Amino acid sequence: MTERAATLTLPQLIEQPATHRSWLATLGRRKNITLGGIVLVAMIAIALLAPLIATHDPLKLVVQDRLQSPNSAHLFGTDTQGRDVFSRVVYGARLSLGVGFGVSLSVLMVGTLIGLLAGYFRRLDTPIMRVMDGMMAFPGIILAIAIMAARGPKVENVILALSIVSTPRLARVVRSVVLSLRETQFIEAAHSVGCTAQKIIRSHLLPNCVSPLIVQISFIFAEAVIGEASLSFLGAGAPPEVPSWGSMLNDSRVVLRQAPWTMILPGVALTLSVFALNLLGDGLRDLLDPRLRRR
Amino acid sequence: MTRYIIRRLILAIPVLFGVSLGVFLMLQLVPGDPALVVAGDSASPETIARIRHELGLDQPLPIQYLTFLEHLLHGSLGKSIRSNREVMTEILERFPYTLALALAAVVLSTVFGVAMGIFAAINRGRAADFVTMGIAIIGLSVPTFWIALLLIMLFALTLRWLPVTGASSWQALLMPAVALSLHSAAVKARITRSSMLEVMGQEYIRTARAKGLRERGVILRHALKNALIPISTLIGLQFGSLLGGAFIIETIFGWPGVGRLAVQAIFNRDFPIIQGTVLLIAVAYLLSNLVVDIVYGWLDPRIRYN
Amino acid sequence: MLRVVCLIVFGMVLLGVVACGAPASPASVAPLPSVAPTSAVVPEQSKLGGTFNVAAITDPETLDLHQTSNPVASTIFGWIYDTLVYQDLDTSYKGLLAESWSVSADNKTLTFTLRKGLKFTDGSPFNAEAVKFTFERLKRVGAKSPIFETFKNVTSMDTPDDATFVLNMAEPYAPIFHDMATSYAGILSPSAVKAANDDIGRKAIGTGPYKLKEWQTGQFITLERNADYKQFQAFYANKGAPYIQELRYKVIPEPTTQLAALDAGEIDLLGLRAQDVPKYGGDARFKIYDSYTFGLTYLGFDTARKPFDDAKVRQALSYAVNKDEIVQVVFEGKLAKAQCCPIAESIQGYDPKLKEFELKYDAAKSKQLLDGLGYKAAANGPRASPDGKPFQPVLYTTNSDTHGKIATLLQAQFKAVGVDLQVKQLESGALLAATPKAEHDLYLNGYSWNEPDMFSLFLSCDRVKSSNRVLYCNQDLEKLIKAGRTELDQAKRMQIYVEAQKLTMQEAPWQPLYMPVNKTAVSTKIKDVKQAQSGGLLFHDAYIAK
Repeated sequence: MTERAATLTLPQLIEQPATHRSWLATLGRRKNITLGGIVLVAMIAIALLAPLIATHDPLKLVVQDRLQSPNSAHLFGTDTQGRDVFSRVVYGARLSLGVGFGVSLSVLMVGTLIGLLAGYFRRLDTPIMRVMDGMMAFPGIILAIAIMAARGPKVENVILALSIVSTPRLARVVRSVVLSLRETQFIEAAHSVGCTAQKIIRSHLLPNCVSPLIVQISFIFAEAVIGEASLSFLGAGAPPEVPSWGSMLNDSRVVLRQAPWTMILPGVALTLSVFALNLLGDGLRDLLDPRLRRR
Repeated sequence: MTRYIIRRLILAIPVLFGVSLGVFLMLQLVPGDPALVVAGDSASPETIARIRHELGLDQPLPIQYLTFLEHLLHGSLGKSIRSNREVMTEILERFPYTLALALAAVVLSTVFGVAMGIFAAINRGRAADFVTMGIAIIGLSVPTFWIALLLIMLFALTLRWLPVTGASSWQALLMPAVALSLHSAAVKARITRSSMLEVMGQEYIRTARAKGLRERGVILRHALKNALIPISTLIGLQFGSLLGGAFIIETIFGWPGVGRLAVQAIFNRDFPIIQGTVLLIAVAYLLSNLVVDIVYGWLDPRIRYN
Repeated sequence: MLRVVCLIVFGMVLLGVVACGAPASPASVAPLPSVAPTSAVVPEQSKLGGTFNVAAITDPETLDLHQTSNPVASTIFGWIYDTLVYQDLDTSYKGLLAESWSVSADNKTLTFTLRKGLKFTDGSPFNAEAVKFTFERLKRVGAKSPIFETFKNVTSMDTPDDATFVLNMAEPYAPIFHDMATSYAGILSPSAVKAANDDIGRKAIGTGPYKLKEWQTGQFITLERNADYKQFQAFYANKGAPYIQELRYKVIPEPTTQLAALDAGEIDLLGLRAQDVPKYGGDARFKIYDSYTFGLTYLGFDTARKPFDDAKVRQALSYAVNKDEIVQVVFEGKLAKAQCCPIAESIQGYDPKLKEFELKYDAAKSKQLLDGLGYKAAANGPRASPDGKPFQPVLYTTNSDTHGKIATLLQAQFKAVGVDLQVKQLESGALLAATPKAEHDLYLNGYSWNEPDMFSLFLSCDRVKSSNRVLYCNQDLEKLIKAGRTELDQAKRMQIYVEAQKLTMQEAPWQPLYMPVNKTAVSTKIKDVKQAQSGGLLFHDAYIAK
């Protein structure tokens, strides 16, 4: 999760040729959205319909079935405690996507607010942004582990920890959009006709932030999915009774050699979800936010 | 330029103070008294109180923080609760390993990432482009720790090509470095490609082509040179985050670096070590940002500092 | 011997595997077969040399004898330092650095006669002054040491001459010999400590069979044979220096990596997990040794909290616990043994006769008792408290994998009697902080302490706010604990602990669950490994086949 930081400090730099946009390339980008969207919707469906899709109770320990290799009863085998790997992965989608949604939503609200305040009120800008700098300089995983240790293993706390880690980045993006608009004529015009700050923010600045926000959120969502898995992998994530791809991978570590199947499906599911979100983010950026692309 | 650097360094000081205060407050919120953890399961209350006193944990919080700052002024980050050694010594002992790992990862990711990016750019719009960029986006999506497990399973457990223990040979460095470099290689491939494409559309490239230079020369001599500006920026930023960001990889591979030290310190409640490692990582982050900005200006004279 | 929270993984890899200090072997434990020396007599000279590689799950952090309870460090102390006394295979204490000793009539003064002519590995002489220096340092800086509490009872120490050391205690204290036989009670070289300015975290110098050679932080520690060593422990044939030239502790934090290292021959000894036992059991390159650990894991009730202040409620729930199932499911029947009584069967003071007082698994009885106490169930639903509120006791335990599995199993076992058990897993630092506040209803954890006096640590009134995690305080038990601490007659003392256990089993603040059992794979290259009755491995006669 921390390894990803570099990308995200550089959202502007990432990708996309401005010129030479052949119809093929355009189609390719649309394909991004289509493919990413399909995979994501499928994942959401799996999460929602988990009880229908799962073949076994994901929590049930069946001792005599421990570490079975894939067979007709257990399509992807069983883990160290005889639980069905496939069913756990299916239920694990609930946690991953749930945490992703939770983090996206809270970062969206808090990060946008902070960014608007910093960007619009000159006096607040420096103090707020210094605090954001400090938070970004703070190693995210340590912060998250500490928050988890402080508040205990609960899904809400995973969301809280990952939200705190992701908020500064979104705030920065919003701030830079607001800063670039603040000096434009239509804002000045709004000022001169006596619009209140609240009104200007709500009806002029916020709408302009929507596109970059949508793009950023798809990446933050992807980050949160990996973040949850990382925390669970380190044993500092969701409580043990909740099926999580990260903790499944952690469990698989000790049986890596005897039961490699315990690590394959959770890893694939994790990669696929993040892959879909990244594709979607790329596509959306291209579609919605040509401005980011050019800088 | 010098003034710019000095100004940036001065600006970093309050941020570092903030970070140190942040860690300090964060540690107060974490349940689990370090004295209790050190004393173990069977210590008496008096002994625990005595250890608290020895560690200075019985002082009011502001005093504890001021003591920390006072030590800092004397160039000390305090002593580890567990090993009784200077935090600085503990960190410096592990830093070369983290540095080696980060350097190896940067080299690997730059070589492979830039090569993939150029390859994709040259073949823009063709199948090779889509495949390469598809690989890049998958590389971006694969969790590092899963790749680490796959590598261990394949190269150490099944094929037995690489050693499973030790940290003093290049073979031992290989797996963690590859796992760590994957993600940054993917990012570099994407940026190289887009940056190359942008440059190749510029006037002077067309001129070079018109002069009859061979395509290879155009790409290597003219396009790549300019396309490298954003990539060099990225290398710097990634290096900064790799220095402080290899927690999980170091833990999985048992690599004796700063990241593993920090994670262990959290579980051991070794507060001075946590403080020290977080500060070090923050410094690495701020410095790498600064270096990147300086290099950026040097490579691209259009950018002026004020 | 180790006083850290019983982290199972740590335990398996490190505990007792390489005998540190003295092994204990209660008479009640059936002797495990000890390894017969190889039939062909190998000449002494050809036994010398070689490196013995062992996996360590962490760095020892510090090798300051008085400032740590780290399990890896404690093992290494056993090699570097010798103690005044050691525990022989028949559980009695014998002299190691001390030749003999006498106890005063009031049981408060111990006078040790020390061996003469021994030297520390820095060349300075071993004498009474060194012993006094060591224990004074322990009293001064040793708050982090597991035997710090013991030496609080020591009022003064005298050295009438070089070979006589006198220890004066405030009151008689029976466990003192045990504590003095642990590796934490090794004797330091005063000149080495002074030369290091008291900073001996990386400069450990003792009189032991090995000396510290090199420590690469986070990677390995190498110990080198002390060629001048004289062995006084009776059970060894080799009375001189050890045969193996070097011991190397390699820090390998991951279990998978440890196994791979064992397979690749990078290490020669490893504590196995249950799932690995079949594979290595059939592998001719290794021999598997079984050994008991000194402690057990229990299910405790927070006796300061309603309704668990009522012994009847504790008993009713204790009957719902199926220990055999835990051992079968979580340990595959291999790495644990179900325990009846508070003192594990590996520890002195265990008595099989106490089994009749065990609250043995009986789901029907548990249901019946709960019904009788007014915990009635709605149709098919979980039971409610007598006052009508939902009855959802919360079990606190560490976030270790093993404890997680046991907690899940307990949930199912409680569900079978209609009790909706909630589980809260905390990281062990947070757990230790939470229990004195009585936030929990039930508590699952282990103790690790090779002395029946564990009662005073884990079940006495004055530890209610610290290490007594069930906050149990019973004046009758308190009297027995006090009597056990001060009684120096072994037979009488053990009778006291039978009474104490009987009382505890009836009152049920704890339901003892299981004692961890170690299975250790040792490379067959290592010859003449001895085994104590408890299973601890003894290496002083061992050598590496060329």
